[in-house]
Amino acid sequence: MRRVVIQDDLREAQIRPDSGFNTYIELLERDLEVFLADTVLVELDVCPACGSPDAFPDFEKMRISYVRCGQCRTCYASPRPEMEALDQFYAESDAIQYWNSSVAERTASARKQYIFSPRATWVLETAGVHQQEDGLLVDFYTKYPVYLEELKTKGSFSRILIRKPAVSIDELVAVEGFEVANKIEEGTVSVVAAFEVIERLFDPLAFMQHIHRLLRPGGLVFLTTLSISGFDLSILRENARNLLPPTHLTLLSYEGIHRLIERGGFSLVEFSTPGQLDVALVLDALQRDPEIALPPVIDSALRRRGENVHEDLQDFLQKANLSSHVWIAAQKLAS
Amino acid sequence: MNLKVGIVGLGKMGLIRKRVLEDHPSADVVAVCDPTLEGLPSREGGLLQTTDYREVLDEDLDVLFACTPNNVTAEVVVAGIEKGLHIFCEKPPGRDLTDTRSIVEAASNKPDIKIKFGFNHRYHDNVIQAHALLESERLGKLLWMRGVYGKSGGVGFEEGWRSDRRTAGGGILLDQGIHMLDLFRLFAGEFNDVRSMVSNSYWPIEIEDNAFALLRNQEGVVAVLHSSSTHWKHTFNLDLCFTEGHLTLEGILSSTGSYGPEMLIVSRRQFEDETFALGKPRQEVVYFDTDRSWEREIQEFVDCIVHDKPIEVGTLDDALKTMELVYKIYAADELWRHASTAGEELNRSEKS
Repeated sequence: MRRVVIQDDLREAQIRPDSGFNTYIELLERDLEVFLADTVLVELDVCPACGSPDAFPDFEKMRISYVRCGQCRTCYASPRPEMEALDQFYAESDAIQYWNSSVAERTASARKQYIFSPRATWVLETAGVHQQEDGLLVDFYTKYPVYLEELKTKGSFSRILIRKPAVSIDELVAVEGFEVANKIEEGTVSVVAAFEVIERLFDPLAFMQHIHRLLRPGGLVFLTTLSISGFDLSILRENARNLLPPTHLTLLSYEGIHRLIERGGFSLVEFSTPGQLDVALVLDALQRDPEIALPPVIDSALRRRGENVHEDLQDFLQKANLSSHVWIAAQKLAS
Repeated sequence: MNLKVGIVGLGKMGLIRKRVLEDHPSADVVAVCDPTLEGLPSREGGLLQTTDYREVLDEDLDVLFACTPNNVTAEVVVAGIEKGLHIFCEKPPGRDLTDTRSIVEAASNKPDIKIKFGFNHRYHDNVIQAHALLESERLGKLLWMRGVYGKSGGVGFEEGWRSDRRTAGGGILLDQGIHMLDLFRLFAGEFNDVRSMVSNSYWPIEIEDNAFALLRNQEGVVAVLHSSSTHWKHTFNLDLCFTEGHLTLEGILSSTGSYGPEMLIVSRRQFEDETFALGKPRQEVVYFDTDRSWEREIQEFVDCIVHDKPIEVGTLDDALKTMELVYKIYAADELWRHASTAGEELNRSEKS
């Protein structure tokens, strides 16, 4: 199995500038208040990753309660809105529209350099190694045509389709020059990409099973998500500014990811945490709230040591799969 | 019906091959031979164990694995070929070109058998993924390569068969550097311009403990090799520089883990952002945690036999061309050419 460590110079402000992010959070809080007032929430009986019924309360964020799985340690919102309601929220939220039209626009160049181009390269090169680069690629929930353009120009996929993970809303996100698929024949897809999707779904396992049906034998799925096992989220939990419901309903743990992949009928070919911002995010949180308690050695490394130690720590987190930013590539097992 | 396999030589490599074959669903190991086995011959649970390789060949076999010291490789392989067996032969393909050519000649009379040589490094993940990147041309055109493969020798190094000129034929270049040369050929094809310095600088042995080679192919790709048994830290490092990026293959997974974790480091040229990147481009370090090279290698060999497909990796042609390159490197150093049996052998082979 592969794991990737990325050495680059990404800064939080390049992709989430303070002013835009603060406005986004304010709008989101307002949207959520309205949304939760007339939305039925459903209690989960079992962990969405490993299926265990064993869970205990963890924390609350923006009126959403999170519990922790006693088996795999995945952190998940329960009760949570059903997929149809979530789809409607994602389609109508002022916050999300603001993000897409304002923040994403302003940070487009950095996002291309640090996020979308590397993802396109990752998909193309991994698909090449596994001889899946010539078939049909389906991308779920794409909002950023830059990444699709790169796949199209640098790759040799026969067709690229985009699709929403749920079918409850007909209005799909149209991306110029790309085909939007309402129905895809099962067993015909070489590659599925779903970046930052799995954490926002009502039922991640059902999604993985859906992907499994779409893929041909040996086909690949590429996922990115945020993991509660990662450094910044495990320290900051509800204080993490980038942990925002309802886009983050399920924060899979390291073990939970493995279990979900396995239960979905896949074999992992890559598990990487190439995040570059965990340490910076905790430092930022400490600046905002110096009272945040840290384990002594981490406290010393962050508060009393210099930039080199911070860089070394971030490098170690990637190597040890302890960053919260997760990349997963998995291959469909014969059913 | 499973393939019936005999293994000659149960040293480190023979035992690895035996383990993988025993786990393979389409192969049965039915006979083994090694001079160190005691109280033999014996037959236990259908497995013949003997000290005489001819007794292995007398068994009802489909496949012969030759995992022998270099001085008997050609003899064992030629005998197996003459019996009509499919052959898996560890590298190097004998002590010298005379040995390798005797295998080529024997094989020319048996076009239907499969012969594969154990250039195992091609099955490592960092090599597979680097090769896929090269083939995709996403990093542009290959400009140069620099490979360092070194080991420390260690206690008793000078007393092992690999350090004995008559048994091994050559030193560290023939034993370990040959893997790096095989990878150079994988990435850049054949080299027509060969220069070298070969030395025996530390170990009290008659063969080289260091070889430095400078190679160039027809397209102008230059490759630099340093193969060493005085590299006190075990090292595997191969740099490939392309017009649009750079790859480093660092470490290679082994049973002891002494060559470090296996990595492929990918960086892409950032001329357009030179002032920003300052020669320190974004870098992806891909770690590979599991060594599946042995299984892949045997799987490909078994597949080729069962489905009558041509061998694609570690072919007879690969063995001969890589061996020729080893001996061109020996010969390219005037001092070494005349001081070593390698040179004598090369002279002999050129005259014939």
